[in-house]
Amino acid sequence: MAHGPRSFNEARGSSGAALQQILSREDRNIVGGGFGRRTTAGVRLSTPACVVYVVRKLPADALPRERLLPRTMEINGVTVEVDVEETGPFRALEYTDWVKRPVPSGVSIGNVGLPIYGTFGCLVRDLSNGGRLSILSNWHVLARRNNARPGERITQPGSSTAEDHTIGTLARWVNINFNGDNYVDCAIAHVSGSNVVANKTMGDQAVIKVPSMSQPAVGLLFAGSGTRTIMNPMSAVLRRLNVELLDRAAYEDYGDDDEAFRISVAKSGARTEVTRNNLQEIDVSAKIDYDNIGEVKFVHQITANVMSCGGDSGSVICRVPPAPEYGHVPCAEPSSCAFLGTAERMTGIPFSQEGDLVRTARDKYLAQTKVGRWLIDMVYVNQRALFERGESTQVQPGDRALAQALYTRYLGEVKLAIADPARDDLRLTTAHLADVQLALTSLKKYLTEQEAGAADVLYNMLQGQVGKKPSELIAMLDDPGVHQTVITLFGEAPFLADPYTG
Amino acid sequence: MKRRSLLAALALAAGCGTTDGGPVYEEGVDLATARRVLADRGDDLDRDYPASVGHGVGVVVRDPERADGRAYGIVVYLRQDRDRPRGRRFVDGVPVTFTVTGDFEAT
Repeated sequence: MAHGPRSFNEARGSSGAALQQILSREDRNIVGGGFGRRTTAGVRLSTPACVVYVVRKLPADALPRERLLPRTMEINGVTVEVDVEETGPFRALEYTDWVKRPVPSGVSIGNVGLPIYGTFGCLVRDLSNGGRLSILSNWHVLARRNNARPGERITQPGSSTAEDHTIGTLARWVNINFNGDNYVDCAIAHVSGSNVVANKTMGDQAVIKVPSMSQPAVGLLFAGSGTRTIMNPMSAVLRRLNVELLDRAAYEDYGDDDEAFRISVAKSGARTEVTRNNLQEIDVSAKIDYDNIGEVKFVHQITANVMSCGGDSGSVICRVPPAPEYGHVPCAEPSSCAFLGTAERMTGIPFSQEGDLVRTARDKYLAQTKVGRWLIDMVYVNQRALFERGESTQVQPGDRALAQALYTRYLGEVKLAIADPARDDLRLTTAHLADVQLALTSLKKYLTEQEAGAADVLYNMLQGQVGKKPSELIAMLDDPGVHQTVITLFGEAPFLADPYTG
Repeated sequence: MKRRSLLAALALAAGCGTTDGGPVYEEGVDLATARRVLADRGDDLDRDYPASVGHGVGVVVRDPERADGRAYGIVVYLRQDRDRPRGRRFVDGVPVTFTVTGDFEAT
């Protein structure tokens, strides 16, 4: 007869064996697991458990029976508790080796003359050169420590020397005084060509974006220790380089009010990606150790609790809302999702009455594909923007009528497809395509030119799929090429933030 | 740049700040006073605490919420705990606290 674990080691060993069995299922929603404690209603209990990490935690009725995880498992006579934790997908940290065009801030950049990298802080305008678009980072990242000459190539990724990875040329820096006080460690590179860089930040847009009035830049990260991250005040960086942020006034200074000690800050860096913490001290003087140079003194600096590691130098640190306001709350129920509610108001279609249908389509099919997962996360990340855009859009009566007519015409067919996507009698026809074309014509009145172009590309992709069953169309959404095409198309729509890359 | 400090990595992983048991005061001074005194006496601090790696103005009291604006003092950064002076210290009436940060490195 099975019994509960009698020791820590027995619980741990049994949990490990249980996890191996679970991982062997090759369910794409399961991304890992470990030995921990059960969490119930947000409370971590003392019960040891095999904690299984899933991309999305789905209700039992949204999953086929064979994909359900047991609440307990029996391993060699020991009962193992199984707990499921929604973690989202895992990926390696470090925005270092990606080749990304246009290049967002937060990724690795470097001078071809140095075998090391730092971070692309943000875009600025060079006021000494007619406002030329420039990349802001550190002196020790871009300028090879007083050894560089203007015009040296700056590459992304930072460790690359490839000619076609060039994104700019070193323009100007503030020399470091090795024997006296320093205020900034900063430099700029002029951007090479058009469409090379983007005024976006890598990472979770719900946490940090490029400097704006709502998320003003506080400092330029350049050093750290075991417990502190040090930054140059952004006002000093801008003044000494004679540059301005694209949103000119999007930075702030701290005077004799105690504002600085109450704020949260965040950065997107090439090594530790998006991290946040609190400002800790101002008016900081510190000795900074530079490789092969020795200690250099900096004054009038700002510190935060540690939020960086090597490679993050050059990141711009911005004030962000306190942690509880971060992120998005996934739609527990479709009817409670602001985006769907807006769609309902715009079209007059009662989506909320079909909550189960929407949820099943999302969780059972869409979430199991690359494109679907990306789309779901994109909607989550952009919920506010979508909501605001929807609320400000007045849909013409004719377009509402068309949307309702198409909804009525296809609701039954969609229900059948969701119930059994592999059935033979449901296939994409030219009549479907004609209706899609009709819907697109109506929709384009509310889209930008870029968005309309993207919609046309997607429509053309669909044209090649006539005759396919719903299951085959769903499988197409898991195709890496289709996935990349969709991401590229959305990347051209400045209104939407990519959920993973910004 | 890409030289990762193990200590920094561990601290980052733990999400910790400075909780190293330095002196904590029941009452500090207002921010303007702390800033003024540090500006005037920063060089003296460097001389008095040669093992330090820096200093700044920060919160030094146990409960800032109850400090009624008198929460601030001078924070001196130390390489290691054995550099920490004994007892409470003040500069011109401003409390001085000591925290171990380790060396600062350009990252």
